[in-house]
Amino acid sequence: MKKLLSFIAVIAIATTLFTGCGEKKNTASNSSAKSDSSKVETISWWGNYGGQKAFIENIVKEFNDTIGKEEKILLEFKNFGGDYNDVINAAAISGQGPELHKINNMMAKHASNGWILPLDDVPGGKDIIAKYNKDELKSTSFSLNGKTFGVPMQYMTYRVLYNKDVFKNAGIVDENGEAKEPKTWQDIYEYSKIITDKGNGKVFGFGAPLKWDSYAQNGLATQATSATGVWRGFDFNAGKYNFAAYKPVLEIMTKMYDEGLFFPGAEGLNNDSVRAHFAEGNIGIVTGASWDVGVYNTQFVPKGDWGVCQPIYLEGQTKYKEGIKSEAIVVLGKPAEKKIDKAMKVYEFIAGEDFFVPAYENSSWIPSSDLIAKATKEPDRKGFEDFATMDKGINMLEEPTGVITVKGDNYNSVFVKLILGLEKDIDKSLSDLDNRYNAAFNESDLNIDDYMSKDFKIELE
Amino acid sequence: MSFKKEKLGKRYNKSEVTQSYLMISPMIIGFSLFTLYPLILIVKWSFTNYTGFGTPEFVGLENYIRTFTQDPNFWEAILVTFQITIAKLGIGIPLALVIAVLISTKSKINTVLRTVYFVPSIISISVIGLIFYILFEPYRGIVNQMMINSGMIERSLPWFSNPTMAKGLVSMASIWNTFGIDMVLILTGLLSIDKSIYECAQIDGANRAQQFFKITIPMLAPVLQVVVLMAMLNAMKITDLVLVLTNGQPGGKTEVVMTYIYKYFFTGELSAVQQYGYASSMSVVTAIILGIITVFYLKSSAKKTEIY
Repeated sequence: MKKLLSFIAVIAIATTLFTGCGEKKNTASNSSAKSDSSKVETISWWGNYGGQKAFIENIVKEFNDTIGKEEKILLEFKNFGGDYNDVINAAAISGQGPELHKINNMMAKHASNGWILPLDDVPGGKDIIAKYNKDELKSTSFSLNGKTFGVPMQYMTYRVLYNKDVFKNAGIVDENGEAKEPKTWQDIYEYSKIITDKGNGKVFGFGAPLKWDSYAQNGLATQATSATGVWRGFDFNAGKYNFAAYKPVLEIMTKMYDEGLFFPGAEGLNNDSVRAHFAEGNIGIVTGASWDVGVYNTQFVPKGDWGVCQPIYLEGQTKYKEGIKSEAIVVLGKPAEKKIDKAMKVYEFIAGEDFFVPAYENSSWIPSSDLIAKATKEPDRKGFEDFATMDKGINMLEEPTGVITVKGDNYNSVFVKLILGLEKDIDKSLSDLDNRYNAAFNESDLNIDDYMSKDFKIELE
Repeated sequence: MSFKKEKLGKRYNKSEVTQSYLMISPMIIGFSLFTLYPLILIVKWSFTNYTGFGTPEFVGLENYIRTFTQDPNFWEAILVTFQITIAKLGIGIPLALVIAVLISTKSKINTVLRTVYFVPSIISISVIGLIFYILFEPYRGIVNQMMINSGMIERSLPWFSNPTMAKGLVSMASIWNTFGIDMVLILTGLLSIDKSIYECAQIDGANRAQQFFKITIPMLAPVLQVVVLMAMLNAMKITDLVLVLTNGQPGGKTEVVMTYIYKYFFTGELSAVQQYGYASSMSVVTAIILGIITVFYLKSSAKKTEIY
C-alpha cells in the first residue's frame, strides 16, 4: 500500500512539470478552432503605445463599428508596459504573437528571424510601398536584405523644452515680458546659470537623466543634430562616424555640470524623475522628443506654462537641419499569414489618412506633411504643434549603430563620463569613439552605400 | 520481494531502486532543463558572435581574448564587485554575529528584536533600492536634510556622483538587506552550543570576552563557514540592487560584474547591439573566478571547522 501511494505521489509530481505546457497547447488549439468556425476574423494588434493608448482604443472601436462590420473583422488591441519588448519577442519565438504589432527598434532582429512578413510578398503590399520615398525605405528601420517590412507612418522630432514660468521668475524675458526661448547651446548655458543663481537651491537651470542608459542617444545627440550636422554620431554625407562634432556641445554640458547648473543628483535620475521635476517647476530646461507631448499633457503635467524650442544651434557656427526620425508604428506578424487578406485591410487602414489625420488632430502622432495638410482642426494638446513643425528638419537615414558590434564603452557611457568629469580629455575620448565605431562599421558586412548619400543636404540654407 | 546481490555484496530490492530513481526524476529533469542545458548553451555561445538573431558564427577564442585583453571595463566591474563583497563581509558578518550574541538570551524584547532585524531580508530588493535612493538623494533626501539642519554640513553631499560614496551606499543597502538572515543563521548555531561548556569556562575563571573568542567563535566555525560562503557568493552575484539604486552610475563606477554582463545580454544598453556571444564568454570567466574563490575558501576554512 505504501509503495502504491509512493508511486502515485511520484507520478503526480512528475505530471505537474508538464501541466503548463499541456494547458497552453489546448488553449491555442481551442482558440484556432473557434476562429475557424466564426465568420468574423479576429485580428490582434499589440504594442506599448503609452500616451497614444486612449486614441487607439477609440479608433479601434470606430473601426470595428464601421469597416470591421463590413469586412467581418474584429480588431482587438492590447497595450503593454515597459516589458513589451520581452513580451513580443517571447510571443514571436513561440509563434503565438499577434497579427499586427509595434516593432520599436527590433526590425532587423524580427525580420532576420522570419517573425514578421515583408510587404513585398503580401497582397496589396507593393501598392503601399510605392507610395513612399525609396531612399527613405532603404533604412534598416523599414527594410532588410532588399525586403520592406514597414513604411514611415509617423515622424519624431527631438527638441529642447523650457519652463516659461521658471524663466519669467528668473527674469529671462523679452521686451514683451514673455519668456525668452533659447536659440543656441550658449543660451542654454547662460539661462541655466541665471536660473540656478536665482533659484536659491530649489530651482536649477538644466535637468539631465544621466542614469538613463539611452540619454545620449535620445536626449542629447538627437537634439544636437542641428548644431553638429551628425545624427547620433553618424555623418551621412561622409558615410562614417564623427563624434568629434559633439565637442562644443559636450564642453558646454560639462561646464554646466561643473558649475552646479544641473539639477542635483543627475547621475541618479531617470527620465521620469527629470520630467516630474520639470513639471514641478524645479528645472528650467530639459531635452525631450515628440513623444513627450502625451507625457506632459497627461502624466507629468507642468504646473506652469512651458514651451518647445525650435532647433538649437551653436553661436557663430554652421547651422544644420534638425533630425527627424520616421518610424513604422505597426508591422505584420508571422501569424498574419493565415488571415492575410483581413490583416492587410487593417494594415491599410492604419497606414492611411483615416487613421493618421485623426491621430494628428488628437496629438497622438506626427504624420507626413501631406496628411498634416488634410487636418481640419488644430492638435488639441499643448506642445504638439510645435513638435510637428518640421520645416527646418530633414528625414534621417538609419545609422548603423544598431547592427554593428562595438568593443568597449558605447557613446552614451563616454558622454556621461565626460559630463561628470570622470574623463577629462574630451579630444582623446571622442577620437577613441570615432576609431572604435568606425572600426566596427568597417569590419561589418554592411554596405556603406546604404548609410550615406552625397545628396543628403543637412546644412541649413 | 526479489533480491539481487551486487558485486560489493550489498543486497537491494529492484523495485525500491526503481522507486528511488522515479522519486528523484523530477529534480533531475528540472536540473537538466533549467541548469545543465542553459550552461551548455552559454559555453557554446561563448565561442560564437551570436547577437540574438540570425545564426551564431563560430569565432573560436575571440571573445575570451577580448575579455582578457580588450575590455578593461569588465575587470573594473570585477574589482568593484570585490570591493562591495569585502565591505559586506567585513561589516555585515561581524554585525550579524554581535547582534546574534546580544539577542541570544530568551526574553520578550529579544524575540521582538529578532523579528525586527529579520524584516529587511524579506523586503523586495527593488524596494530597498528605492528606499536608499529616497534617503540619500541630493535634492531633498532625508539624510542630507538632517545633516544640513543639524549643522553638520552646509550643502548636500553628492552621494551618487562620488564613486566611493556611491559604492558605499550600495554596500550599505546590501548589508541592511542581508544581515538579518545571517544573524538568524548564526543565532541558530549559537543556540546549539552546549551551555555547560560556558559554565565550565566560568568556573575556570574565563571572562565574557575570553568565552566569546575561545568558545563561541570556534564552536560557531561550521555555521560561520557556511554563512560567510553564502554572503560572499550573494555579494559577488549582486545585480538588482545596483540596477535600481545606481544603474552603474556615476559613469559606470558602480557597475558590478553581473550588471555589466546583464547589459550585454539583455538590453544592449552598453553596446546598442545585444552581444550574447561576448556576454556568454564573460559569464564563463566569471563563473570560473567564483569557482576558484569558492574552492580556495572551502579548503582554507576546512581545518577551522573541525571542532571537538
